[in-house]
Amino acid sequence: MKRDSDEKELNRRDFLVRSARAGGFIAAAGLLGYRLHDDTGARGLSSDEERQAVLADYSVPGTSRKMSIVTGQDRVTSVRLGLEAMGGIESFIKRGDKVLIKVNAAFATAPALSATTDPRLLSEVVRLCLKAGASEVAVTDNPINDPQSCFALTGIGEAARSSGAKVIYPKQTFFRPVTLPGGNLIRKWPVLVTPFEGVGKVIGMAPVKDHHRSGASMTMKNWYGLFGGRRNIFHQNIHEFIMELAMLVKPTLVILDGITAMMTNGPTGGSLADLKQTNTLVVGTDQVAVDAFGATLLGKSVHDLPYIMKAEAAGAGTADFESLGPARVTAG
Amino acid sequence: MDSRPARTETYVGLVILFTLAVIAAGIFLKQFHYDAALFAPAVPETGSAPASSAGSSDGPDLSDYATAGLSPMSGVEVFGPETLSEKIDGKAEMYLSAGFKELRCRRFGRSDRPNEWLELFVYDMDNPRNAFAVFSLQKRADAEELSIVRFSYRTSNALYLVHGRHYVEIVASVESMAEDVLAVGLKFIQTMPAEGANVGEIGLFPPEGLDPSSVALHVSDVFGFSELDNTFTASYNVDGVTVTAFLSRRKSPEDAARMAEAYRRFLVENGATVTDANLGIEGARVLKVFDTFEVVFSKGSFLAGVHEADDGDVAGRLAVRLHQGIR
Repeated sequence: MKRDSDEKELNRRDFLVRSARAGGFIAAAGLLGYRLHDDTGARGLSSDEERQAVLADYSVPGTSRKMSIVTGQDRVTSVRLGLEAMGGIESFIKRGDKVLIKVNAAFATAPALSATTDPRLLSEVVRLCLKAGASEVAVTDNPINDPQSCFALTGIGEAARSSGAKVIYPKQTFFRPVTLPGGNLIRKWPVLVTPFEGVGKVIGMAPVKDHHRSGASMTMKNWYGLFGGRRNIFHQNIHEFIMELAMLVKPTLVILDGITAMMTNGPTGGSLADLKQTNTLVVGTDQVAVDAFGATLLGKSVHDLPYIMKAEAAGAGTADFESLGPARVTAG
Repeated sequence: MDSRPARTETYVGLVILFTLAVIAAGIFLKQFHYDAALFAPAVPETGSAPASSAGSSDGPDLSDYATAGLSPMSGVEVFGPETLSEKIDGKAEMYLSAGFKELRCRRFGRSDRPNEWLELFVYDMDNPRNAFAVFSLQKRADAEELSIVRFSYRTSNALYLVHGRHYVEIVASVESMAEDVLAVGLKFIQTMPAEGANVGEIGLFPPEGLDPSSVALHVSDVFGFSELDNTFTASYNVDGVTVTAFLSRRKSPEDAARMAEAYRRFLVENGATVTDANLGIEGARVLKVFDTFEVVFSKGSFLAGVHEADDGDVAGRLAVRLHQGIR
């Protein structure tokens, strides 16, 4: 068969020249890709800008080591006494403050099942914030189940509205990508940020619950409900993730409701048999310390819940809650 | 020698390069337009509770199980393996590892009392054995055993049962709906055809001192040992002491012996010491794990033993009885 002149065999020199050119192109493409690599995230924001735009530090200077532990059966009385023991809610909420309360409204279950924030407790906290002069109180969460059912059936929606707060339901447009500086897991992940806009104070309110993956669900894990996307993938590395949540959200206060604790079959529970009257409510500014105490209500220690020790090591707070000298109050 | 490429070759090369340039430009431009919605879940907007979240929309809407006085509060929700966590969050892992196929659930309320409602959860676990696994692992301590089907119990506000390949939960918002809960459960059993839940290994546990309600099937990562799966446990009262026996059917006698050795090795690596106790069971070992005792042996295709007993003598005696019961 006749061969085209172009198909003549390459000599050694041509082969080397072509190889060098190809290698040069590959190297140039690699270099270009490296230079164009966007390490700062979406929309050209730097990691710091993303975090600052979304989640500021909402703690009140000088209050970082305050905690009170109230023994009682009535949530309304207990939270009132707990706050008084920390100097009153006026120490945290000032006139004109816009307050955001992050509740646990994860499931569309009845309040009696204690899988979600208790509506009576929420009402009292909203009332106290408004009494302290808050200009606005909003309540939000991105529940596991559909939001309308969750806020309705848990009683949280009605409790918020009747006490003067507004309910912010999650919408697609309320999410923006957030990166925790230095974080391994929270990187450019959609977070429910719109409710934080213009807010000066943030309060986290969570019940004490057993959790199948993390061992417990309390105030730190409560921030999980701010996340969107396929967030269940974080269950594969749950302790690291909760530690990062504690680094990401710096609240004004957290309130841990252990009046009734879900001891088994969490986080959904379902049966009243999963619950135990532990008659304790904790208010604090150090969420690591509050959760460390909460572990004892579940009959666990901080060593049973690795995320607590990780959060302490990361500088989010202290697991040695006694070192805060918590005020102990009996509600009668 | 002319080493220049042919004209056709040049044109083809240019077309490829142009195409790559267009793709690169597209990627470059697209990355400036990040859309969180691509990552965000299907966040249902207010007033739009999903009738179906995933899985097959075909199949029963569960309305047949509503009894007198109850009417649907919502549409049926359907979840598959990919979306189960959207309903039950962190507990999904347990169901998935047990062979979960689909969840259908629906709320029913009393029209005369708006705060009284219940939710029916029907988990398709593929077979009765898998259904028994999730049933047993969530057993409530103060449960009232029922006889409506072999595996069923209720608490003050809920009913739990295994019916064929289904694990069923009926959870009420208030205790006063206990009778409604039971009625829905009975209607489900009567309406839904199902094969009997035959979980053979349960019969191998010697009956004396056994707490029948304690039998549980652990599907994975049993006793913290990642290689050990599909293991039954049961609680015994021996001379006033509570002890846990276990057994696991393996593929073959050789596999059972290998697993027994692997589990013993795992215990030793985690601080256990092998005692010189002789139970008269070929190959059996009694290990001291800190303040507790563990007995491990294999018989035929079964791995078996006693787990975390406070008393070594009690553990040994129960192990001998368990060994005799395995046929």
